[in-house]
Amino acid sequence: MAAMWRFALLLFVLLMIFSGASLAGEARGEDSQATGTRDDHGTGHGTEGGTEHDSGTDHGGTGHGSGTDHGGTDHVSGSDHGGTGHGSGTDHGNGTDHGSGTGHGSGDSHGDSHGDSHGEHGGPITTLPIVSWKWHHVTTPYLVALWILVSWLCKLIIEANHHVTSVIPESALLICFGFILGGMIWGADKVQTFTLTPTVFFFYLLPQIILDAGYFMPNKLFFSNMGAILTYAVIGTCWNAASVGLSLWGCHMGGAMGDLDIGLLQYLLFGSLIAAVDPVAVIAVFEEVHVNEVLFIMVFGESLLNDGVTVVLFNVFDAFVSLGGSQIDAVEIIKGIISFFVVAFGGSLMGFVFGLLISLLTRCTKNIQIIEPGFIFVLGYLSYLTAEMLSLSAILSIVFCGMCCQKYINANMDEKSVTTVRYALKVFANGSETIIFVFLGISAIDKGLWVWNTGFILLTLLFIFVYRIIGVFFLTWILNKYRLVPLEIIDQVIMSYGGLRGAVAYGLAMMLDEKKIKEKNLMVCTTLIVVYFTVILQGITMKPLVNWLKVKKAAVTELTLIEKLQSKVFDHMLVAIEDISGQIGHNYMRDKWNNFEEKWMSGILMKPSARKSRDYVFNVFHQLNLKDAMSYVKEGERRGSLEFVRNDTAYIDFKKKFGEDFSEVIPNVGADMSDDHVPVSSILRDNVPSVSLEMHDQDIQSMRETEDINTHHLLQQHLYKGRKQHRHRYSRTHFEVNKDENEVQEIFQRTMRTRLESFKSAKMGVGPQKKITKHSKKDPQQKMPNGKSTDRSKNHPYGDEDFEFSEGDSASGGEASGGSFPMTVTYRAGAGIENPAFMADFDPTGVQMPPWLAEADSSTVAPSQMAQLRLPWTPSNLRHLAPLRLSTRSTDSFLVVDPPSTQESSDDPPPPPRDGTHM
Amino acid sequence: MGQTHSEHPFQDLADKTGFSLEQITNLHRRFKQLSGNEETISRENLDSIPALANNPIRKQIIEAFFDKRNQRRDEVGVLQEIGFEQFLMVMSHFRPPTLRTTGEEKEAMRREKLRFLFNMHDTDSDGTITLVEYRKVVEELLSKSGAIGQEAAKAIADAAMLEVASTNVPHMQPDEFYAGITFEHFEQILKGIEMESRMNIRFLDVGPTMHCRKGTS
Repeated sequence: MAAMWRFALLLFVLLMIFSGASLAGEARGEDSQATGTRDDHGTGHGTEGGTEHDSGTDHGGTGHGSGTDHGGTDHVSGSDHGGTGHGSGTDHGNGTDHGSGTGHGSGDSHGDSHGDSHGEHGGPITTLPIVSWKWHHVTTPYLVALWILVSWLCKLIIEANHHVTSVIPESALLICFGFILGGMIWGADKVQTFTLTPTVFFFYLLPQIILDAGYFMPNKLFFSNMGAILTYAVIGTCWNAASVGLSLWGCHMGGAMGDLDIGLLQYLLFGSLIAAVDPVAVIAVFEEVHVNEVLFIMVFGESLLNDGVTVVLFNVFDAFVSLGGSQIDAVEIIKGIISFFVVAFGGSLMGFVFGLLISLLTRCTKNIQIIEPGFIFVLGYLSYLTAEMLSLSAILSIVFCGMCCQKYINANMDEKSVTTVRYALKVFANGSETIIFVFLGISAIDKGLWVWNTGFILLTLLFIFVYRIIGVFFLTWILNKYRLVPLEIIDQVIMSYGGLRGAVAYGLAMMLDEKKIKEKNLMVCTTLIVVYFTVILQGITMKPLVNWLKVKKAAVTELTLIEKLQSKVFDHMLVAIEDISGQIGHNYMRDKWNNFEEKWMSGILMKPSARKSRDYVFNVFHQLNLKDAMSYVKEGERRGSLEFVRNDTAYIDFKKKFGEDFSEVIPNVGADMSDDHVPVSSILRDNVPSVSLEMHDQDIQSMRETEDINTHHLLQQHLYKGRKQHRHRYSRTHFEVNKDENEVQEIFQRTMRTRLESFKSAKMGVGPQKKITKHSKKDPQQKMPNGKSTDRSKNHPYGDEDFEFSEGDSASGGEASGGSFPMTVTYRAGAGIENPAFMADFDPTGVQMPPWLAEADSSTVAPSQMAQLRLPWTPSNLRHLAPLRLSTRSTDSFLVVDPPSTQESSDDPPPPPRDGTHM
Repeated sequence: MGQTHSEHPFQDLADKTGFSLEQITNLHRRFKQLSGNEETISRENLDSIPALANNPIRKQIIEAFFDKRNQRRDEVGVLQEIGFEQFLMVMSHFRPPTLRTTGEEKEAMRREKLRFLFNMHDTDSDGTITLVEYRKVVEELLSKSGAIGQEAAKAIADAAMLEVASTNVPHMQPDEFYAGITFEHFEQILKGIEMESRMNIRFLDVGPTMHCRKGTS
């Protein structure tokens, strides 16, 4: 079944490609065969951009698509230039088969005025066209979008076949798909209309990938291996560039590759472009291999930074080539070296500055939460462009931008925005990665490109491979003299083998100037072969090699609190031992930096409120709690009984009240309301009901229904008229619904009353006694943890699991859900009411009860019973939830604090964790 | 002190701890400096190191130096003062692996490091880290990070403890209880941390540290 689906999908894609190709073909077919290279298209297009609005801009959108459509539009504009809009009408006559003739006329005649093209036809129109076909009006964006879709569909197909991806890495498969697609296009057009152009690649595809890498960079790991990474990235790349270039030149001199018009400098230029390991390819392969983290950061960090380096090298050598051999003297070379450092460090600095800028900006975006995440993208992109503009290293710039801002924006922004940033980054990065690979494949199928020179190509492959190994081993040998934990031989093998080349090299090769370098095509073609060879062959063999060599792999573990705590213990311990032994190692430096960072940078770049809850361990704690809460809810839903959770959430603050009631503070109920929204009191719920433990499922069901009905009734009767509008209004700026203060207040008030009433009746009942017995039962236990009594088995806090859980359970359920549901946040507005008017109104004795409410009384307590009833089930089934249960503060207070203070604890100011959850 | 003294007396220490003679010499200098040229070092000596002042778990670490369990002699108890040998023994837990270390040796090192860490938590040396003991460490650990109060620290400790409990005893019966983290459990939960490559300190071979420089020149 699944296979059939896949097949159908594939067919569909193929069909689409074909139609796309034929469309392009038609455009292309008439479209002067005389067109030279695609690059010409690109540039020509760019210059015309002034008039042709949309094509000009979209050209950027994705490029390859633009390859064709360039063809198309370019052509159109060409003809436009030539004569009138009419002329173009004719040459697209052929296009009629995919549309109506009229549409064509209108579309292409006015590439320049897309806004009102309809109104002003080429000639006077005789009648008003109701619908018209305007292919040329949308060609560029349309093809761009289509190509994106096609690439992504390729990925979809590939990922649907797990047994294939487990052997062959996705990147290799994507390239192969590219071959197929390219073949189809070529079959239709006889010429390759879509290729990856450098502009598109460097401006529209690469930045997001690098930003993503920077943003998700494990900073600590990166910086603790910084020395090694820099060594590999800078010295290693230079070594590769120089050795490959020189060796090729040597072989050329030796006559190994026949008659080629390449000089020493050109060889070095080629060496520099082929030297860099490509982050895109490396991540794609290594992600699936799961090597240990040190090895990963080495390969990954190196690939990221050496891209910057290689671009710089490329530019320097490019300039040298332009200067010509005779012009180059010692001064120029020194200048080149200086420029190398200026470009690299300047780029990094630029990124740093932009990173700080983003951090600062997110400090004050509280009121525009919806577009908050956008700033990261825009500013990140700007950092890239700015660096490019100043001819600094754009890649380094955007890497450092991402790395610098990650910590601060995560703290400053709303949790939802952070999630948005993460996902959006992944979407962009993954999306363009896919496109890159597909188009790397497509670009290959081009007869014009292939210039075969066995010697050159094979020697390049050989040298790349050999020199990479030599470089890695030599540098590691040096580094191991200084490294605390030496890199092992196996790691070195993997590092050398992981030298995958990718799209950056190809992009640079495409940027070569044909006028200066006669053999550009050979170089491009060699680069492509190198890319295919490394990505496909090495990519496929990487996994077996890693397994065969038994490379230490990263344990795929879940996020655990204790590990994080231990890491923290580690850090402090290491610093302490360094201090004691009187050495100044990098732990010491890191500690100093952390202190500095804590003191100054965080102070400036972080919201004061965010700083509070920023602690790392606490974050982990919070996240785990969230996760537990979610699985809790899921579990509840699975059992078809989410109701209690929902109730807990909605009434969290009211239950708080409820709890305070219990300690006879009804009159000040509103007074200290504002100081917290901790659902501590949800514990108190439990007091009433444990009687009903044997209640039948059915009863619960019906009870819930009753309550539901009552709630609805309540809402219906007593809410403001306007609420519906609030609920359903479409808002571009806010997600939250129902923030109207009055309304919230109203709901609050009403609910409070019912709660109070129902509570009153409950108080008369069994509840209180029940509670007391419970506590007395627990009394001996509390001493246990401290006293380390002998019969722990009976009394240890964790011992009496069932009992404890049922106690802590609903509390934690409430608390957790409080943290995880936006709903609470919404209601906070109501919770914080210190409105005198409200206070005056709020007099429990004076509450007038509608009859239906009085009836509902008994069942209003129901949710607590239900909750109570349900909870004992869960602990054994929900492993994850267990930590949550005992971890919550409320439970904790049960464990340690004496019973009377348990009740006081509900009056306590909120513990910091709550701040965190609501941040 | 110094050169004349260094070769012979330290040779057996070098064998025992795996430090090189140069490292021992360096550490010995440091030891003398800390102890004020005494033969032994006391808690106060360590406590007064200025750089340690900011370390939240200072107490535990200092205590580790005086813990007999960290001397690799299967003894339990607490020392009041330690000599250079003991000092070195504790330090040797932080020795980095070299290229020549084999897999088994690494495993052993890892266990030793883990043991050290475990002992640091297990303050009453009964072989389990109880909740109370763990809470104390966590509280101190988080005490420097400002906003986290004691309550939260406790909650975190509890959560961590339960995590251990749930990973190690996945199906706990209602009447069971989790007494505390044993060493085996401790090992189990810290599987994911590459202890052997992280819990290391660079002990200088030659280049004297700042403190030592005064001594030599």
